[in-house]
Amino acid sequence: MKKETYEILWKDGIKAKAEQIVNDNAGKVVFDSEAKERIYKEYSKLRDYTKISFMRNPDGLLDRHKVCACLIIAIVKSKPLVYEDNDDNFGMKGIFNENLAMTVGLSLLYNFIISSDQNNQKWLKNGFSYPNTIRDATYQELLCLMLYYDIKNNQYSILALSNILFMIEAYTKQCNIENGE
Amino acid sequence: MMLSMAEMVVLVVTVLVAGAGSSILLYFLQKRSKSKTMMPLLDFTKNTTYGKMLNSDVSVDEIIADFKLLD
Repeated sequence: MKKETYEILWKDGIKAKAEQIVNDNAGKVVFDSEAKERIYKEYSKLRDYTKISFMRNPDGLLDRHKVCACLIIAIVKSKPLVYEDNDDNFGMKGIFNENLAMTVGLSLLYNFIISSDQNNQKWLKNGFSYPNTIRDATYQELLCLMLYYDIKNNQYSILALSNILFMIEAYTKQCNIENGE
Repeated sequence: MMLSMAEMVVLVVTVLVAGAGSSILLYFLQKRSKSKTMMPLLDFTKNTTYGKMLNSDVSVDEIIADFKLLD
């Protein structure tokens, strides 16, 4: 990813969503703008690791799901949103960094899909679809929880997250095409 | 004791019907157990090798121009 590309992602994606989260959660969380370089470095590290470990041609490009997975993990690991209250003993905190990361990652995936074929707007015009869950947490919240615990315990998998992103894309397409979109 | 003609016919028909019934039952049982053992697992692993994955031909740099943040 070129620096110019990252600048757009930072300004229109990461920073924009982070500021929205900070505004909606005043007094709970602040935005660390120094995370900009941290995220870029972390993304580059994860991207290179993925290319070397899993791709036939380490000099070639990654597919869209792996690119987005690397970006999501890089954002969560870099923690651009910092809790104002450092007391960790008061119970559950918001999963703000994970929410930010998933929003930006899925937005980038959306861009990739639309760019590959403008006809994809037909089934993607309402954004991504997610399966219903049985309990009170939504699928998106469960994804954020998964990211939180996996990265906290250093047990994340770029391939697994990439696979989940593929499934979200396939599920959205299937749901909307079945509904005649 | 000799069986009458009518009794003989009933006996033969009963044996034939019972035989056909068991054959049909066995056929379906066999088919069911076959479909259970032939789970798609075989197809799933048929071409599995531990090679690396194919690269993409689209760069993130090419698609970023119209970046839109989803809600």
